[in-house]
Amino acid sequence: MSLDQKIQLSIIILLTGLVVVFIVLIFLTYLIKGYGAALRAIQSDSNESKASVPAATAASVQSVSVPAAGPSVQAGITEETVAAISAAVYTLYGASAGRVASIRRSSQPSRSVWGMAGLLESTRPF
Amino acid sequence: MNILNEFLQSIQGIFQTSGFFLNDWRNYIMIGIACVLMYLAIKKQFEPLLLLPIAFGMLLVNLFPAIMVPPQTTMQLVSDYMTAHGGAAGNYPIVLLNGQQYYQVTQVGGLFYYLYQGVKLGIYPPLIFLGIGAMTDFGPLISNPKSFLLGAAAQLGIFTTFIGAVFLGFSGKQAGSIGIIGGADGPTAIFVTSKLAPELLGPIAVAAYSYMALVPIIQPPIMKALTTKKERGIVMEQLRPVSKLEKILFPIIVTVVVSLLLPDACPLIGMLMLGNLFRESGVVGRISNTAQNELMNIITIFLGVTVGATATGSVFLSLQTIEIIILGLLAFSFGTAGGVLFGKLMCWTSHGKVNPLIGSAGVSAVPMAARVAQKVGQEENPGNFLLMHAMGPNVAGVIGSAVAAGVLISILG
Repeated sequence: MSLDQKIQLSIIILLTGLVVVFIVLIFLTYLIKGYGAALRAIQSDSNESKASVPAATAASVQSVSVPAAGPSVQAGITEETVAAISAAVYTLYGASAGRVASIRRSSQPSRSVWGMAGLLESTRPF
Repeated sequence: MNILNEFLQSIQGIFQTSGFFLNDWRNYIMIGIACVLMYLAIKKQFEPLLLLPIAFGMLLVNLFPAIMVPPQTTMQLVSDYMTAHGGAAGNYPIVLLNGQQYYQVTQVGGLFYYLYQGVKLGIYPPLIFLGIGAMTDFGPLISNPKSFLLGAAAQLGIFTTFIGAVFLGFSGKQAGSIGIIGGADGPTAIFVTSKLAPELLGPIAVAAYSYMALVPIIQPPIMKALTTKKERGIVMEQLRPVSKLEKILFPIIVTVVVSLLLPDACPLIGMLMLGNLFRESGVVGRISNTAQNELMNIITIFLGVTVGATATGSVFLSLQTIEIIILGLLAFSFGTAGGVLFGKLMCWTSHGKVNPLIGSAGVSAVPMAARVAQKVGQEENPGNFLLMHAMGPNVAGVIGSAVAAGVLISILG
């Protein structure tokens, strides 16, 4: 390969490589952003419509000073755990996150306990 | 006397077929290197899952080179064959040469020759990607898609190193294979090299995995040199939670987009995203577990030992290998610098909301590079947790390096 050929090949690879990688990943950035926003909008719409039904029902009933109901809690979860989870949610997301509606145990994870321990071990910071 | 002669001849025959007689000094140097790599893997725990099988494969092939030889066909006179086998006919094709009948006797290849076909035919790296996909949570990337840009910027090392390799006298295909070391992604490096320059597979794989293990040593000085104390101390906002639907759609969308735009990246990206879909869909738990555990481990063993077995003395001990190792270091360094500099740009455009350190994680090397960003950030501000923010560019780097691989194969292949 002559010097000219080397320079030509280098410029072609550098420009093509960086431009294509950036174009593909910028395209993915906007695509992911777009569908994320769309899904959030759809989900918030459906949540609002669900929330409006009990609100309308509540408005039609003579309300007396009833204390705010706590989250629906799965049997076996103690009040201390509920308080700790609620505090953690409030600390992370603030008041804007609303209130905790329900607390239940997550379904059995697909990963075994040992697998989970391995994952935590390998992703734990130094 | 006759018995003594036969005995001595037998001993001589055994010696002449032993490693002491057949191996040359380069094999012994390679055995030494293999032992050093095993020490690093076991004692220092440098990427032991890969470095250990690679080192042992290297040891075996230099002790017994025939373990890697391809199948060979020899011609044997039919009459000679039958005499040697008590008059029994052989089950081989017969060829007529100079009026005499010969058997085409096929001798099977070495064990590693057959296992190596998975590397040569580009089968193992996509299967490793399947396992990686099943283990990876793309949540941090989905919640902050701008991380993709950092993953793209960190591929700078691949293309700048390509230039260096070309000017050092490597061919275009070889330079592309050397450059991909900068992607800091072992399976991608092996995939590209097996397609473009299989003759360099040994040195490139060893360099790629060694540098991945050395990420905590290579990256911090570059990260510190390119950032100010104030930038390193930036605390980033909490990432938003990502819904399950978003996580399920992500692998499908990425596969469709990348495969349509860059078909050469399809085997890697497609398998990566298939693994991730197994994980996120939640309906194939057994398959997901198999992909991230048993399958991944089996392929890792095969890939490791056979890649190590390509590092024979005659191939590995050359000036080329030293050049590849130096270029690999440059590739890693340029990739890190590219990510950090783009992180600085994002920091500036976002008015200080992005910590530039997370850009360094764009070189892949999951999750080591993200952990390095976390560690360097915490040195400035012990209350700063960058790990999840760095995981975004980190997994974007995997996609970015697969895309870069597709570009190289497309242009040079």
